[in-house]
Amino acid sequence: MNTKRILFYLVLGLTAFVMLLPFIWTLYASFVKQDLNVDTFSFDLAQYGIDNFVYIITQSHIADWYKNSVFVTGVITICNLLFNSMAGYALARVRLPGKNIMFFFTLGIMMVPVQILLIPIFVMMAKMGWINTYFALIVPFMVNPFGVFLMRQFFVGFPSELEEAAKMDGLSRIAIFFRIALPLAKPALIAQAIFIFVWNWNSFPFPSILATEPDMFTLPVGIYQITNTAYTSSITKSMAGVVLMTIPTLIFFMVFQKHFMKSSINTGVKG
Amino acid sequence: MQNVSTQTRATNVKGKRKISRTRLKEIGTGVFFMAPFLLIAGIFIFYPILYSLQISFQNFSYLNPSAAEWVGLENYKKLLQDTTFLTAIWNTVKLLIIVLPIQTIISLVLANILNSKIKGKSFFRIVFYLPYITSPIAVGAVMVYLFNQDGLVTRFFTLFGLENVAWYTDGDYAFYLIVLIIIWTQIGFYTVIYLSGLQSIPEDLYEAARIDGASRLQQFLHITVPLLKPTTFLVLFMGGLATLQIFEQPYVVSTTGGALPGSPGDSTLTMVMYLYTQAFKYFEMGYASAAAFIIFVMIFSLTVLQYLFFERKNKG
Repeated sequence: MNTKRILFYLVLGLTAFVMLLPFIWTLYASFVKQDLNVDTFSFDLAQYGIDNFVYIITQSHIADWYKNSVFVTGVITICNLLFNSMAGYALARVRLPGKNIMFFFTLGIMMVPVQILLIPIFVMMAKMGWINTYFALIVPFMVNPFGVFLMRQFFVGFPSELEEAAKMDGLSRIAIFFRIALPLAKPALIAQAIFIFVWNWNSFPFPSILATEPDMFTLPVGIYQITNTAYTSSITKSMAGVVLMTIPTLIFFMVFQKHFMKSSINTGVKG
Repeated sequence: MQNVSTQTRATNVKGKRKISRTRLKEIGTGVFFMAPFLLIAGIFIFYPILYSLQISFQNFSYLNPSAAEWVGLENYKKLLQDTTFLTAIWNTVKLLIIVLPIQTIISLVLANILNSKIKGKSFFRIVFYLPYITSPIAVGAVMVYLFNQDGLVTRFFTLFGLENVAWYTDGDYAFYLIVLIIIWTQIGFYTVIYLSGLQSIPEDLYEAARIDGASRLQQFLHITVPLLKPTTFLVLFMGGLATLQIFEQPYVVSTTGGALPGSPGDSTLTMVMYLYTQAFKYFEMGYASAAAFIIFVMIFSLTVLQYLFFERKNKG
């Protein structure tokens, strides 16, 4: 029994080490001054410094990319929370003709792989002259069928007594939604926000074709440029860029860690 | 009797008119709530799918869309004879065959260990989950350096007789680098899913088995594994979808140092990478759209298979 316990900790510890190693190494490499020294460890503190970060911050457009990523992902997340919740509420609570068709439509487009949309969306954006604008990076991603599905599931189980009471008090349906249903949907909204934020913050294929000017890149596109020779072919500088890019995701994850676990289990239920 | 029914009819008519007014209001509200979603999803999801289907039958250049030529099934025919595309399909299928069983077994084992009386569970869960939420672009870039010649991990592997080469430049190694990256990225997520599956198995089943004298292994094989069947299928299904659509990691790894996507020698080329390269490097949009639809059919088939499986399970 005791040896088994030790074996268990060994397996978990080893796995944790393997999972963390790339993060630790990246952080280490980002402080190494010379590329040549990146694969060796030294106690000589003169070898380390923040030069790489200074270089990336001053020489690349990373400030723009941060601004773009924060703005784009922020607006997308807010729009998704609003629009998906509205649609999910209507599908769950409002008596609407053709509701089932709309629900199947939502389920159906959930199954479409996004890659199929790359070319048509690019062509549409090119025609509208939206390439290299925030419109192209934001508008197509303002709703998400999975978010609608998630919210519908939540509102189906929402107690109708609350709505009845509010109706008695003379509130309109729209007021009921915004003042009662939506505030009570906080757990579902957090789960949704997590997905939408992480998906869009890390998204690469769409931003890489919809933004071609370096000052319109989002962080993933910018970091891809950095690691692929455009600005530098230096390992340590690339890793400084990776660190800067990863920090917000990690903070977001640490804050909402519990909800992450819960919502990934919900995804599991989605089937 | 007659009297009563007329009376009810009268109120009915009156009530009906009233209902239809509230009903109209209700419909108006529903339309208001649905409108943003339907509008945006219609324009940016539904219409593009149809548009993409149309482009797949055309010789289409985005530089001059009006000159698009209808070529029927030509793109599809050409694709199925294109050895590069077939290589991309084969690579993706190979990834599926290698990655799925390994990551499923590892996740199952890890979840079982985490489900026993172990301290620091939430710490391990968080650490395992971390790679899953990290940007695939960043992950790809970091792995390239860890598996570089004289890189930390490469040097470690030389202890086991592997060569000290940059994995991404070597045809034999590059593919397995992708395999390792996918597994590293995903197992944490599936471990969490398995963990929730394990926690839904009632404890008294194990107790009964223990009373009957079943060993730990017997309990695992006869209780845990069968009861986790739906979870296992889910893990295989989601892992399958993710692998069929894999793009970022192989793209970053293969283009390190400005090499062509899929290099060396198409060894890391996947289906979606092929689509992306054809469309946005060679601007063969019609051809790439046809590839997108072939990928769509493959993914759709997987979904149908899963649906059939669940149906059979529900009946049985």
